[in-house]
Amino acid sequence: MLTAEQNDELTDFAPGTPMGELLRRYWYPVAFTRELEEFPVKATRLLGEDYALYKTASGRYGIVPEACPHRRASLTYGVVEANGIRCPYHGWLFGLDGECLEQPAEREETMFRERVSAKAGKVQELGGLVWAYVGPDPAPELPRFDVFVMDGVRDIGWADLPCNLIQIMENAVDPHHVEFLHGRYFEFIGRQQGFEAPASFGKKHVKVGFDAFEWGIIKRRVVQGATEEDDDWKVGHPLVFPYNMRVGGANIEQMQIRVPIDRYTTRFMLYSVHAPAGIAYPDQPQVPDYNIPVFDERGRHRTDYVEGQDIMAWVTQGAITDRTVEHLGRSDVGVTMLRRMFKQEMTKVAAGQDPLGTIREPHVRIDLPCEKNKFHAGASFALDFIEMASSRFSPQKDALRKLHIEAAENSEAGVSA
Amino acid sequence: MTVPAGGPAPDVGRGWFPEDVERHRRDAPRFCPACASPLARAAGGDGLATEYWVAADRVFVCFCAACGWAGDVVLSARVVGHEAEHEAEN
Repeated sequence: MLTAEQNDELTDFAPGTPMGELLRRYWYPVAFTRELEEFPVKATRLLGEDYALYKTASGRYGIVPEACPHRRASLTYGVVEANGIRCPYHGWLFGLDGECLEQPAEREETMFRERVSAKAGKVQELGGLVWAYVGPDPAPELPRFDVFVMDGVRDIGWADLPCNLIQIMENAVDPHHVEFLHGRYFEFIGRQQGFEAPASFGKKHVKVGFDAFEWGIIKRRVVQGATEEDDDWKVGHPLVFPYNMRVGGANIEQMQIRVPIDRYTTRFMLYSVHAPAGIAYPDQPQVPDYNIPVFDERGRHRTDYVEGQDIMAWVTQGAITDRTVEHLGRSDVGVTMLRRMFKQEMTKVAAGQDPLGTIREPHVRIDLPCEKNKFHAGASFALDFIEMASSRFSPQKDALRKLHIEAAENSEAGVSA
Repeated sequence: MTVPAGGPAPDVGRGWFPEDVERHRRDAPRFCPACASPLARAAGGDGLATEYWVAADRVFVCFCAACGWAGDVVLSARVVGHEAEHEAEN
């Protein structure tokens, strides 16, 4: 339970607010790489602000606020040129760093253009995604987390959800929900709709634990039939501060990405890498992305798959959940820990320090801790996951299933790729 | 979806607990135990106090932005101790 003022602070991402200033210290995925290959400029919204994102013919990326500084026409209709983007209205040209390079209708000797610039952000491509940083200089390094650089078959399901980021992130430090939302509730829905829910999600939690570490919070659990020597406790998996959760198991490695589009909208992305050993991976010139369903034809939440159940829980909490009327218990200590972490990091930013997870050194790859033997369920978890989680909507579902089965058969036969 | 115009809208139509809201506002620690700076934003402070319940106890998970102190303040309904087992007397 919080006061209304504290809830407001925690959930307001506007520029100049404590949370807005904190969240502007990180890189976010704002487009799929393929989108700018299909058309070189697109509108994108991040932290409540609208931008024009573009890619030049030579492959360089740029991002500027959507409204042209001249007369406010949209640069998302701009002309992408070799060195920047040109406003479609009067032709003002802005370079990759936001500098105004041309004002065709103004006399050059007035140097008016030197007085006007667009506040450009930084853009990079990694792992089939286009990432933007719109905070103050100097920009930190884009973290090269393991899933974005590892070998394997990539697959991205996504949906734009009508709720605030923070309640989604609180779910990432709430292990107990799994056995009910993805266990008992899944089983109930399965009985109603005539399918069998996977048993691996319904195991009772015996113990949960949380540790702060350099990238966020590691979440641990002991489920019934397992011990502290099993992966779910010994390794666990992390909430990667402030907007990711690294999960996986049975050769599926995943980053659950939650991009704060604005205060009331969050893009939920399931960035999966299917990486069973002992098999050659097919080439992927483009990473497939696809919408996962949120509502059914009656406007009810689709809850017949794992992430649809999470989405239902997040969205039905309200656009911004009213934390003045919640009742947290001992099982919610992960949630309290996360709120305190957000507040601590807001304070650091206000004091001019880098917040948690800022990386300044160039690097090749950041490996995150993540259990392999998920829910103590063994290899069957991969097939459960493909059948009953968001991958069931993937255009490459059958190929993914085949990949894991062939890898398992090769492993049994002692074949290596 | 109806988007609230300002801050978070109170969720009053689906189950409302005004007594608990009031109790939280009344009992949450107002000042940092370490540096005495105000914690509540409503009182001009810059802190955080998240409340959770354990049976009859109320735990406030606190952080003070003024001095960096972090800790839990517990309102206990009952203090229960324990005593080591003694050798049986002959």
